Amino acid sequence: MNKLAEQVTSQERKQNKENYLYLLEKGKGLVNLFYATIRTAALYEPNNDAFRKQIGPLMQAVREIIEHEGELSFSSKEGYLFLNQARLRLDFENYVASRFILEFTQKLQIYKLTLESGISQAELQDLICILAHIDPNEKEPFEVIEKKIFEQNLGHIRLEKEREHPVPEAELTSLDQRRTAKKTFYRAISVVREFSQRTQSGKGMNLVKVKRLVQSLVDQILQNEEIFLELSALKNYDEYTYLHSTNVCILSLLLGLRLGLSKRELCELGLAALFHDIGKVKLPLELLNKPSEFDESEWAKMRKHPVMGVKNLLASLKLDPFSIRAMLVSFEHHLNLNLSGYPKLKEKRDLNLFSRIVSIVDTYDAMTSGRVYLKTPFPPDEALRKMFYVREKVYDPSLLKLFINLLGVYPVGSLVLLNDGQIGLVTKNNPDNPSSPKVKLIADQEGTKEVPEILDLSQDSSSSAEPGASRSILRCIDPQKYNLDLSQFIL
Amino acid sequence: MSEETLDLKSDLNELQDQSNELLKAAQEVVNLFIKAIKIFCIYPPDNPIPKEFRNNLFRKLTEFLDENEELKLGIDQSRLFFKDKVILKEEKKDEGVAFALYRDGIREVSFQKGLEQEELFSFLEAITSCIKSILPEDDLVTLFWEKDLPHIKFSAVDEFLTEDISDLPQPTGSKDLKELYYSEVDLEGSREREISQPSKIQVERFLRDLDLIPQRELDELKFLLEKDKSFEPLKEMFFILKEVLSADSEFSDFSETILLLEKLLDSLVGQEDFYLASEVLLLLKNLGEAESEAGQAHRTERIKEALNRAGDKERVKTLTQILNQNPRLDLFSARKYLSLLSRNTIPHLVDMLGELENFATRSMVCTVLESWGEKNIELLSKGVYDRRWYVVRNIVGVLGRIGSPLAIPYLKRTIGHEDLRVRKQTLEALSRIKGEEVNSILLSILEDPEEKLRVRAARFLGERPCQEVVDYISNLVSRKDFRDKSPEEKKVLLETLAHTGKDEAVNLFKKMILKKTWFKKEKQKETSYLALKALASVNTPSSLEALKELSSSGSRKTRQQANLLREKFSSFQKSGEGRTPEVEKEFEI
Ligand SMILES: [Fe+2]
Ligand SMILES: [Fe+2]
Repeated sequence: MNKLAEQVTSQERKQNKENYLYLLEKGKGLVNLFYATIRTAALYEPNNDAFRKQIGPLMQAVREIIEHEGELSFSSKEGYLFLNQARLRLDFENYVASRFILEFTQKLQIYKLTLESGISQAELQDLICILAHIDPNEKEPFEVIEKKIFEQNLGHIRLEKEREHPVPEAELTSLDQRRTAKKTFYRAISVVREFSQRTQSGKGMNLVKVKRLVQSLVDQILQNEEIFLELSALKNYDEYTYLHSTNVCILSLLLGLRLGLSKRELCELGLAALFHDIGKVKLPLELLNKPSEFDESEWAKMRKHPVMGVKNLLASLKLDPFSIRAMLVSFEHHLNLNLSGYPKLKEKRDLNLFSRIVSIVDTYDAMTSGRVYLKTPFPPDEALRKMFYVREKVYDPSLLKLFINLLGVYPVGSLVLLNDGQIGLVTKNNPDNPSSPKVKLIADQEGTKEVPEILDLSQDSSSSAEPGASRSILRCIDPQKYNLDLSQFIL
Repeated sequence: MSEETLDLKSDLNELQDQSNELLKAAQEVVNLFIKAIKIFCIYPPDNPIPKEFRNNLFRKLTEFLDENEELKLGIDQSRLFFKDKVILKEEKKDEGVAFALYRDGIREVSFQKGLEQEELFSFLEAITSCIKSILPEDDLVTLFWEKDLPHIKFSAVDEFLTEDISDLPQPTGSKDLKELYYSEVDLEGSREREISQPSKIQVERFLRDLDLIPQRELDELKFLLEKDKSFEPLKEMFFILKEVLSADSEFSDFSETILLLEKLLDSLVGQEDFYLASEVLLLLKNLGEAESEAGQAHRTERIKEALNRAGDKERVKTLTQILNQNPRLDLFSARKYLSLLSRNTIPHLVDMLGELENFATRSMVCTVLESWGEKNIELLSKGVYDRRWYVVRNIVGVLGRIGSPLAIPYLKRTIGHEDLRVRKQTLEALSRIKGEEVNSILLSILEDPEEKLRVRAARFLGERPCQEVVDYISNLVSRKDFRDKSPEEKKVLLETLAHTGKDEAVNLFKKMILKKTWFKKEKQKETSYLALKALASVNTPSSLEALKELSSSGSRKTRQQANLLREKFSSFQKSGEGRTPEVEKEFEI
């Protein structure tokens, strides 16, 4: 290649990179504005002040990007949202909005939405109104939107339809994905078990194996969060200790994902979470599975497990960042934010980010399963409230909020009683309406339903109990109290 | 042959041609690929040469992909395959690109259409870094996974992916919800529940509280994430270990943790990771100091024991093997590690000098020994009794660099060593040690059979003016056999005398210059000229006076030379210039 050509390519590359960073930067704000405007439009008329307050800044942001880039488009590919050619990074500042746009466009069968140079505020406003008011039960939403855009003569807006067949909502998670997820979930349990047993007998463990596992967990969680939430809600296994570690790993990864951690960081986090209780391997099983509360001497033994964990990891004789993160998390996961927990420290310090994450997730899983420290489990919603109000100095408050946002008030997998007397299993959280998730109705007075029905509580307007009123959740039910196996409804 | 079969054959030929063409194109790309990586391994990344190769490869590869959609390569230990044909065979079996991929379980790589420049470059970067380091921090699969390369696909063998996981926990419990239904729904409101259920108001409050994460908390979260970017694993680990050890209230627990650290140390040394090993050693040392300050004699002793063990005979032997086997070792860290070991390791390190096979490692060990300094001369000096001359020489070098008079008794011994190389080193060592005691040893070297050594000793003596030196050399140059020495040795001895004796030597020089003999006339002439020069170099009023005298007496030649020298030296004195090297040069024979 001659010098000039090389210069041009390198300049191009630089330009591309700059463009990419520009889009990433602008994308954050745009996604949030877009989300807020559509949500406002669904509630208010276009001439309402609240709506006008939204559309102005949105228009400005759109204009700015078009000026810089020539045009603006949202598209989705493999579960990621793209602004023009840049894949937007999800983090805690735009997570809800990005997810919303992704799911919203998917529901409307829109693969790509392009705004061309010259678009006016009136056109943008009309588009938002069309999108916000489309009937959720419309069979062919794309065609309806396209027609409206044509009729209203919105010349600077282009739509492209989803190429693949849209998946019916009830089967959003394909059977294949579920099977793979379940397999990975079980593999995780088996890896924890193997690691624990090897540690117990003083043997080393192949860390590459664990890394691969966490990597495949991350990959699959990126594709489908809900199925893993459902899996982690199942607590009815005999080998609870391994299951607990797997659950903590999955929930930690979900929280890490929402924080916008890189893949490498996620891998470190997942590994650390998986082994946070590795210090328990040498404790007698009778103690771990003791059905009643611990006495003081038993507590003293339990309190040693963070330190024992460090020793066990140290015994694997590796000092890579992965192992060190795991040691740190093992050591700190019961310390509490205000260091009121155990072990007692000589020196004051700030808890590591990963320890803060694992500590929240760990408590949540322990409280809702009622196996470890509390012998009677709390329903998920109650556990979250307890953590939020009663033990507020113990957890990182913003991380806890983020975690609750992620789970919803009624986390996926919760067994709930509705106000019309039906019993349902929560299958999907509505981020903008956390008390009204989607539920799978699985039982009524006849007992277990043959074919479960899916109900979106945020969209419901029919109630068999009280005509005209919408159905809602009355409270959570503890499946363990009845020794129930809910896996049939999940897997 | 019928027309039909002919057609078929030409079709087949055409197909054959096509596939050959494809193979050639693929081969071209693969060759570029291998070349690019080799060059990457050699040049720094911002050098224009690797850049050009990289761009070239990208161009060729995208051309190939535009036409053929993908380039799928099979991999074994030393070969790459394209459509089951060997497309590359590497010279050495256990290094190179194919092996780097193979080692981490990758058996197939496929580049796909749409491949972006950044992706290819990240890919190359990962492979290069893996080839370059013997013990890469991460495996390639992990590196590729982290880099997110959508147009480069792999298939890797992973023992665990194929592992049987049939023996898994199975969910327990009943599947019927009837019982639940009746107890929950019927009892609703009729019985105090074991766990209080939140009221609607409570839930609403909860939701309101959750709804907004205030800016302050968001900022804290950002700060936390930012802070985590600079996570320092070692620092964190040391914090934990300190806390763990202080949490070990029982001595047996404490001892067990220390034992773990000892094992870790062994393992790190075995992995040749001297950087981390030094860090662990340093930690142990710090811990030991802290325990000792806290008056924990038992614990301090335990740590001391661990530190001693790290430098025991057996472990130093292992270290020697490692240093001999791996020429690419990070010697800087190895040196750090060795210098952190306890005093008990000194004799073993001395021994090690005899076993090390290359110069760089020996010199590294010498630096370490040197750092033990004056206080350990006695231990270090054990090395002078070694039967291997090179060990003795190395130790003498160490003693010299330490420069302590305490080493003199040992150097006295080695100055008589049968090997000239040892004697030379001893002379150098002595020259670095201050004090008159050294002078008499240096003077004794003037009688060494080796002229080079004598000359060098004489030079050193020139820097150490004292009566003993003046007397000894005066005596030596007056001896009859002096004139038979080489001009070089005579010159240096006379200069040394001039320098140390000053005016005291003037008369002797005069005598030597004017001396006449019947035998060996040339030798005598030489001596007298050298003495004349030495006299001039004394450069004091009385030496100039003597020169003046000589310029009007003696032979014609002497007069001429004396005149010349006088002019030069008096003019320097007038202009106040000293004896510059240039001037010295002018007066060389
Ligand atoms: Fe724990
Ligand atoms: Fe735990």
